Amino acid sequence: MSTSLEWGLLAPEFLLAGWAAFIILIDLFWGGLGKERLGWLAAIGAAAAGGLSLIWVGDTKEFGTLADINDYTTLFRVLFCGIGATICILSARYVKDRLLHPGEFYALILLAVIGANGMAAAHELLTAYISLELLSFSLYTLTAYAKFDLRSNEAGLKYMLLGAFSSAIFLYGIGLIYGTTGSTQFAVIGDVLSGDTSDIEWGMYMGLALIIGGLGFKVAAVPFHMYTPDAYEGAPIPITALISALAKAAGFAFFLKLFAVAFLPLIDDWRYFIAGLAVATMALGNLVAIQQRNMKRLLAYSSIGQVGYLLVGIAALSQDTASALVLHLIGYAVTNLAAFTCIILYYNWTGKEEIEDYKGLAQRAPYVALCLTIALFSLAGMPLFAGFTTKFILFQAAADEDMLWLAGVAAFFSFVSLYYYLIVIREMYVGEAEEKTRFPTPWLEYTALTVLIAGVFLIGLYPRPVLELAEDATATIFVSEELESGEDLVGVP
Amino acid sequence: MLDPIKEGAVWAIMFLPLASFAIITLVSFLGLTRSGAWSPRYSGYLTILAILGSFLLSLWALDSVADTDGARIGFDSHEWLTVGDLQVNIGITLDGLAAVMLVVVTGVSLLVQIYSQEYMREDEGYNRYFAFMSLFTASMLGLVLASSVLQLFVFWELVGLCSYLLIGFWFQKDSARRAALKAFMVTRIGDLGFMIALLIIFTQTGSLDIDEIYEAAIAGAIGSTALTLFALGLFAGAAGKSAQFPLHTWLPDAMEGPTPVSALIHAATMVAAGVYLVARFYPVFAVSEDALLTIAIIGSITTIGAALLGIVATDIKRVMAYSTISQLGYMMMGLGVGGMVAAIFHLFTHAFFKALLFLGAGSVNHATGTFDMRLMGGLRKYMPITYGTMIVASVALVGIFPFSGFWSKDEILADAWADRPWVFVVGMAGVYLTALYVGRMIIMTFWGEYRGGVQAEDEEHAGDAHAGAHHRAPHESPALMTLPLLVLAVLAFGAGFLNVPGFHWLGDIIEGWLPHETEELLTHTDFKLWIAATSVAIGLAGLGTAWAIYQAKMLDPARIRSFLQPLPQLLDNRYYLDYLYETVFVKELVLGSARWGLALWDEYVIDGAVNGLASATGWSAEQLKLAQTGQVQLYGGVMFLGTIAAVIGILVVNP
Amino acid sequence: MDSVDLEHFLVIGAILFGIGLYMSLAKRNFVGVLIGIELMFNGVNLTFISFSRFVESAEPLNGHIFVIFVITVAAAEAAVALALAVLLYRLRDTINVDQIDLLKW
Repeated sequence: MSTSLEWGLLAPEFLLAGWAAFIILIDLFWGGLGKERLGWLAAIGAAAAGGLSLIWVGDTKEFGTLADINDYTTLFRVLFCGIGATICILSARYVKDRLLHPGEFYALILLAVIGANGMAAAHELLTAYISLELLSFSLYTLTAYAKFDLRSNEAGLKYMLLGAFSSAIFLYGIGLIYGTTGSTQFAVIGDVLSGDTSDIEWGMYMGLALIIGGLGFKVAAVPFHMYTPDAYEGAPIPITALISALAKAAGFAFFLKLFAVAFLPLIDDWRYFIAGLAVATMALGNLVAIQQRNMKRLLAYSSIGQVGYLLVGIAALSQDTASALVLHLIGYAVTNLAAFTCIILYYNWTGKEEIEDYKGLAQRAPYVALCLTIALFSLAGMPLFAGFTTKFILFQAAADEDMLWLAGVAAFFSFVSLYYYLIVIREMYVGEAEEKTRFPTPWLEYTALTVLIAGVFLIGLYPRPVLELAEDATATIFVSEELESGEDLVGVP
Repeated sequence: MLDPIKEGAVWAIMFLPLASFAIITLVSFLGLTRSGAWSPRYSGYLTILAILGSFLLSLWALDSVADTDGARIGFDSHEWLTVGDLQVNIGITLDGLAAVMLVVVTGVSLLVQIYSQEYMREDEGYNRYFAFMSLFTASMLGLVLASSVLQLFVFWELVGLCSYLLIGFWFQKDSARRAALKAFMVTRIGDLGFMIALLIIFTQTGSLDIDEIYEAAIAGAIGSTALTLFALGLFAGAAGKSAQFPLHTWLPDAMEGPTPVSALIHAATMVAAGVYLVARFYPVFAVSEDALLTIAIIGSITTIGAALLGIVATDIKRVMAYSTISQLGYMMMGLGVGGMVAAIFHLFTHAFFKALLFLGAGSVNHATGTFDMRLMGGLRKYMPITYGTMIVASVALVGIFPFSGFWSKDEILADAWADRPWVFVVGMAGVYLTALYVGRMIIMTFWGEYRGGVQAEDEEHAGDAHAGAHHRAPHESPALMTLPLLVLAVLAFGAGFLNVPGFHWLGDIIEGWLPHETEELLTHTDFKLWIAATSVAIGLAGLGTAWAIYQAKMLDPARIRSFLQPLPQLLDNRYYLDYLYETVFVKELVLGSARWGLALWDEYVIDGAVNGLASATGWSAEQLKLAQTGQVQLYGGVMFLGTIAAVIGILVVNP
Repeated sequence: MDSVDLEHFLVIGAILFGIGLYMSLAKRNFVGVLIGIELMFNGVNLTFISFSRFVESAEPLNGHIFVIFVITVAAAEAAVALALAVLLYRLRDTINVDQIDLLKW
């Protein structure tokens, strides 16, 4: 690394790290600020970092041989910072009522965002791995953050143990890839694999399989999904939202980049296995969701189902599919956050999270009930909402890559999924509330909710601007295959 | 003649009701209804105004289209988004078919809304009702106007969603909830076919524009298997929405909604969507003989099966529901024999007389508080307007000269004779059965002596919620309800004259948009006097049979019935009477066995298959759920096995 | 060194990884499971180091760098895990992983 590095390119990450330290210090020395305002402060930091990353719109720069700063990175940085800021706002009330040590809580959220940013930016396996662990460690700790809650502790333990286990498998995969291709740079690996493949050793395929296993855990694909429902149920609700939106989006940002840049030449070797994973994931997620009685577990299985749809995009990987996948990822993150906002609000009001506890919500808080209905319909892929449009574009793109059968299966499960969302909706509108009083209106959360719901409609009705952003982003990872591979070989130390 | 219609005006047809929906929703969220600043009545007026606007604009659209003889009026389509090769446009299709549908939808909807003003007067969900009705109408209009399959699909789903909301309108009733869910889920089974058809057509043609799909189909650019699959997928969607066998089971249950909703669903919106879809893609269906044959077969089965069920039902709305299914089967039969024009013409006339029948049934319910025909009778004395209009509608439904149903039914039969004679035979049988159940319905409801309406201890028969007001003697409904009946009666009588032999005004408009290649594939027949005479004769014979059984009691089932009449359980036990009717039919007409078989088929095979599938899904989901034991090492083990599977999966594929 | 080449190191690495994997899935004690996972990491480390030494690569040092980071991450992992284990023991008086199944189905 003798070449001088442009440290400025990582300014958003430095800002986030500094802000995290700042939050901890504030919490230490100025307790009078209050737990709620601390959350808003953290949100401001995350939003500022997101704004800061807009400097590099349209640029294609590299941070040494470690990371890209281009439209792909920028898109995901903004998305992740946005998720982080939203979660901070949504946690404020929850933390105030139920948790100790708010400073570290918010700081860890910001650190998780740094990890996620790194995963999207990295074009090298070590950087990606460190970022992934940063994200994961933050999440383990946050999951177990409700110190004296047995379930939170158990969820954290399970998440952590299985996370470490999968990390080891993932690392072994990286090791084998490094050993057979001689590099950890995505582009160089892609270059080696697109050349003469006759002498590629079986160790290479073994490594690929182990990497799929490790990544499968991070994105919660069946059969690596089993921690998801438990972790979702045990974690404090805002952290459940963080896992479902941030961890999943970051996992796919990395998954997509790695497979598009490094492993695309071998697509015929792995696409059918990924397709199989996708089918299993969609089937299990959507079927088991029907049986759930707990809202968080329901959303856990529903998010597993969503991972299945996203895997369809990986199995039919091409530049168009990648754009569609990124669009679906954004739509999913926004919709899911909207759904979780409603659940957090309800939990703050009542401390309940079973589906049957939602009965009569429409009478007590009609706006929240309506928004939750919209979010759930969107997740079920009903037209007008983001879920339909993004899924449709994704399935269409997959069908175009000769994966019509897979798109058909995905469409089928998407139809099935409506059933369990309707159970929740019925509960809200048909059930009679035990008390009739209206809930108080927290304006800040309502504003966030309104913005998210507006996003759901925007993507559902007029996805073009977002899709264009996604296309600009994926154009960089598909172009880089030809342009960078030559330069990188020269530039390595 | 007016100027050609502008694009903005066409969009307004759809957006007016949508705006009314948005305003009503907003108003109720702002709490204005609770504070009293917004009387619920305003919601009704607003909806009626919006739909009136749409109706006038639709007439303008029809006028413009008439000037071009039904050919498509070109509007630019707007790019919605582009993904790679996929460019999705949104825009407007305005041609003869669309314009006729627009007029039907807005016209019927307008009358239904006026009627609802009175009918829903005391319901506490008044606001919600009109909001949903506006959205329902808007979705249907959007569906009709769509210029790309995707756009069409979006509105298609919205129509399904609205039907769910409206059928389950009285969601406090368990049966309403179940009916709503059933309607939604059963039609979505068909929608899955539609969705897959969409994916197939895109991979084949690279486009979702309806026009480009026509071109590709006509030019033979689509492989024949793919074309057939596409057509069958579309038809699966249409069969779900239009309640065709075997997806018809939701429609009779959909009676749980308010009666005006049923009128709208049955006449102009939801069930018409399926027929419209097939007609809209007729250039594609026309080149696929297999698809047409399938449609003809399904249509025939539906026609006869539903008509038989209609003969034994005792709930007046249920009789009408089976009648709708049967008539939709007719339209599908028409489509299956190349009679696209005849089918849409029948849809057109059917919309008026079926809406009239439903609103009439609602009026009867308003008076008697029940939908059970056994509790009615003799109403012609008390409700002359309702009675008169119902007679008009019934005669039109049977197809007696010169009522509207005669012209359209006759055209379908003539096309069937020319194309597939066996369908013609089925159609004739259908005419007879239709006449039979219509005659029975009229006699049981309006003739004879009044049998007392709703019983005090019989609340659950009471159908609509507001019917709790018990009337000693039934009386005619108020003017707001009878006015739409009268207007519809005029239409039910006269709508057929728009397309009579020698004056094919409507027919020309309906087929004017078809590409020439498709137009040649249509069945064109001349008016045949013998077909017309036979169908009228058979219709009269059916009515005569009904008269003989139920009025003159020559073949008297009522003897047994009156023998059992004092028995108290007879009043409580609907099934017992149903069973009695069946027995009578087995004895008298040997049709009961067929009906019984059909009922069994419905109950055990269709429902059984659906339930079996559901419980199998439930069982496997239960097992999968139990795999989640909470043991972290089991999770790890499964992950390890997954990794092994990945290694095997990838190494095996790799040579 | 002639007789000891890449394969031997890799096999040792794989064996270490396998032992660790078995331990992490079979041990009931939480600390035992954790040690198993550490063993898996060390198997990976050995693999990295040996590749770094033997394979023709444009980036020969990457393997070493990787190992250093993995060791660091593993240490952090142990810290987090043990903290959770202490908490678990306080809350439930056990550190047997097969007894923590509050969350299931």
